[in-house]
Formats: sequence, structure tokens, C-alpha cells
Amino acid sequence: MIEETELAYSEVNAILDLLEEDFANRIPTNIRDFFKKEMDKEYIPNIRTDIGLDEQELKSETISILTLLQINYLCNTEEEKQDILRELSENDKKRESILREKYNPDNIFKNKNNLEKSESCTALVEYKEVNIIKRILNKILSFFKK
Amino acid sequence: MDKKRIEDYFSNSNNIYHGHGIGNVKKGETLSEEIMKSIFENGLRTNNAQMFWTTKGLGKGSETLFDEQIENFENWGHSSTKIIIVSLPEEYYIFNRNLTNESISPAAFYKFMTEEEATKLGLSQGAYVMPEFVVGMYDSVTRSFIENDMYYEKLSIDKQKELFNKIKDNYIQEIRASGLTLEQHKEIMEEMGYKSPLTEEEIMDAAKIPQIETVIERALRDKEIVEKKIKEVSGETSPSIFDENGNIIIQKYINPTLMEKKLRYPNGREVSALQYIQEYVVPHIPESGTFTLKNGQVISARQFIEEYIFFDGQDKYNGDIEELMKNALATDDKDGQGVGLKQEYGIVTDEETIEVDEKSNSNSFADSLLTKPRGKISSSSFNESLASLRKKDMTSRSSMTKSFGKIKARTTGEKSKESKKQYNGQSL
Repeated sequence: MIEETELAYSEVNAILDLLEEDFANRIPTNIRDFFKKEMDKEYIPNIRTDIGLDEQELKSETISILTLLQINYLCNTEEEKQDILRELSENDKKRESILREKYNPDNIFKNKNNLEKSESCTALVEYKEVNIIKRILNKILSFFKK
Repeated sequence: MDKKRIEDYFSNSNNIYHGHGIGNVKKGETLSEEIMKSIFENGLRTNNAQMFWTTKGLGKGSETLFDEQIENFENWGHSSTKIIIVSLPEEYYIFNRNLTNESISPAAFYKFMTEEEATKLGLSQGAYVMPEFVVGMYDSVTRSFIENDMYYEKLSIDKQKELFNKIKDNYIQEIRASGLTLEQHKEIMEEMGYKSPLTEEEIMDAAKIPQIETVIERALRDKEIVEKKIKEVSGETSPSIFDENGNIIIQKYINPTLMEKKLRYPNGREVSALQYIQEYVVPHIPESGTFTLKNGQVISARQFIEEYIFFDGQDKYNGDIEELMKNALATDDKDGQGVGLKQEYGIVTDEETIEVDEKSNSNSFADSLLTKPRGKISSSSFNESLASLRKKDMTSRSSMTKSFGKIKARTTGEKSKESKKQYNGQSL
């Protein structure tokens, strides 16, 4: 079975190989070796240098790991690091609010009521028009009933 | 022949042009006509199916290429006045992700000549650029051009089709032998902005083509045979400068203190001694593994490198090995073995520089790959695009916690307490 994590490690390794030397050298060798060792060696990611990483299809885990590396080794100041951590927290809140919106029991109940109402409003009533011969026949029969 | 007609031979914009000098006027060589005919009929022998060891890259074909190269032709290395012109369709070049010199290969245009075939023709066995890709020969003295009637653009459509089917087969085999799949190679080509010459259908069908020994593999095997023969003849017992794959490994025997030095190319670029020797010196080493000095003394390649390349070669000749050899070595060729070897091993014959000529057309696909390092991701581009990716992906602390936990688990063998905590900037 292909491990998504190992594929992400391949992407991370390929990106680290493409970083400017001075910048990449900030990441300790043992960390770089870790990705080299653990990555899926069969998978050769197609990372381009002529366009930004944000224009390429990267795995979510790759983005997380690159951010981990950025926070640990690539930020120039403590402020940069704190900014990223704040951004991550905000994303956590956004994710939570989306999940709450989606799975909140009140909302589900509210939605169910709305659904029932709309179903009752739009239900069709069958109406059969009685044809003219039947109507004459009924009229004659009504005379006998009297 | 008028100039316009010559210009036409250099004008195919889909091709990369190379030049290979023959006929050293200073040495009074008169065999160049004979060599020319042999090359037109049998192809051009080069070192290990690589053009850049023994030829100069002229650039991509254009209407102005000939004009741009006239000065170059008139000042060709080793005083050669007759230049064999080779023209190779760029789409069949093979390269890999590392983009080192060795990675850009025109191997698809090669054929292997066996010893039996070579002996009949009075040539040396080995890898030859097919004669169909030899455009002709330019004579810089008479300023004339002799066409090769076998050049592919002059062939009938049917013959061209047949030829390119063969090139496609070679191309497929060489890519497979390089360890890449055809799909991966196609991706690399696209990444570099080029289109693969194979259709999707051809890539699928390629699986049906049996794997055979490629021209490069055969040429390397051939080197081993040659080395054995040299040993048999000379009774040599000293350590071999070839490894089991036929690659020259002379650097293993060179003084390690010298190997720590940096050496300079004539264009000023500094590289490690290992790279300089492998890329620049090794192609100049004759199959005998020895050099003959001006005073007639024969020294080993190791001694020549240690005593000349590292010192005079750098200080006096500014890294230009050709100048060094011209001044330090004897001028009579004792190493050439027939026309084939004369084409290729030219310390004292006609070998050209491996450095891509700086005057050559900068649009050249092969040349640009040879000289320009692959692009890098700058720190600012990395930071900006990663921030944008995080925004799109909504990367959160919880996803960081997971990734952090996985790395910790793999490095420590178990989930640490720290890795279970929400990620808060902990160090890896």
C-alpha cells in the first residue's frame, strides 16, 4: 500500500533539493537525511522552479511539513515564527466553525424542519377531471336516487 | 558554392549543430579527405556516445548560425581547417533530472560498430554518430562546404521514416537504460518546456519492445575489452585506470592532498579537482594511459595530471588543457589506432575541447543545459508561495500536530508525549 506520508516526504525532499543552497543549509543534515531515508523512492515528484509552489499540486502533508521546517529553521525572526503560528491558530478556528456549521445538532434539526416544510408546500395533489359522458350518466342516476 | 547555400546547411531550427575538426595543417596531415569520406559513410566516432567530449557545440540551427561561427571555424583548435558538421534533432536528446554534463545525451543518434565490422573498414570499434546526421564538411581555407549525400534531410521520405523509427527505438532503449520510465522522461521534458517526440500510444507500445543492450552500454563494455587487450600486449601489471564498467577512475590514484584543491576552467569557473579531472582531463587520456612528453619521455596519465595539470596547467595555461598539451607533449601520434581512433583520441591529433564554446549560439538547447545550472527556489519565493498554500489548504495547528507526531514517532520509534500535544512551535 502506498503511504501518503512517504509520498509527502518525497515531495519535501525534492523541494529541499531545489532550495537555494544558503537557505536550504539552515536545515540540519540529519533532518534532511530523515526525509531522504523515509521517502518513497519510487515516487519522483515533478516540482517546477519556474512557477511558485502554490501553483503546483502538493499534498496537504507536504505543506504541513514545509511549514514545520519553516517555523523551526527558516524563519529569520521570532516575530515571523509567531505570525505563522497565529495564522495556523486562525485556520484552526475557521476549520472548527465550518465543522460546527456542518454538524451542529441545532442546525441539523433546523434544516430538517425546513426540509419538511418545503416538502409539504410542494406536494402535488392529484386532480382527475370527470369526462362529459360520466357526468351525464351521474346526473341521470341522481334522478333515480331522488 | 555560394554563401547562401552554405548558410542553408546550418539553418534547421529544430536541430543542434556540432563541429569536429579533422586535418591538422601544422602537422602536415594529408589524410583529412580520406577521414572525411569515412565519416560520411560510416559516421563519426566519439567518446562513449557523448558529443561534448570531442566536438564543439555550435548552437541551434538558424539562418545566421553559419555567419556567427565563421570566426570560430577559422580559429578551430589544433589548427584544424576542415570541420565535420553534425546536426541532431533536439527533441531526441535524452536528459535526466540531475542535468549534469553526462545527463544530456544524444545517444539515440548512435550506432555501435563491432570489431568485425570495424576491421573490415579499417576503423576502430565503438560508438559512432550515424552518418545520416553528418551534414558535411566545411573547409575554412577554401571557404567551401562538401555535402554528405547520406545526410537525412537529403533522403527520401520513406528512408527518413525508416531512419527515425530506428532513432525512436534507440531513444526508448536509452531512456530505459538510464533508469527512468518513458513517462518520467516525458515529464522531465515537459518540465523543461519541451515536448516528447513519442505519442501516448508509442509510450504504451514501448513496453512491447524488448530490452536490448544500448549503444552506451556496448561502448562501455568495449572499453573493457580494449583495456584487456592493451594489458595482454604490454604485460601491464600496474593498477588499472578503468573500473569494471569501463569508466576511467584515475582520480583514485592521484595524491589525495592534490585532490582537495579547486581547479579552474579556462573560462574562470572553479570546480573541485575531481570534477575537473572527470569532465575535462579524462576525455584527453589516450587508451594507452600514457602521455609522451616533448623530450620523448613517456609518463603515466597519473604523473601527467599530478605534475602538469595541477601546476603548469593552472598557473601557466590558465586551466586550458589543450594549450598545455600542445606545449608539453610530443606532436607525433603514437596512440591513434586507425581512422576511428584518430577521430576521437586526439591528444596529438585533432581532439576538440569539451568546453562548450562561449561564442556559440546561446539559444542552443544542449548548450544551455550544459552551461546553465537548473533554476533554484529562492527564500522569498518559498516563503510567499508556502503562505499562499497554507491559506488555500487551511493548514492548521492540528494538521501540524499530526505531521510533527509522525516524524517524532519515526525518529524515536514511539509516540512521544510531546508529539501528542498540540503543535506549538516545538523543535523537530
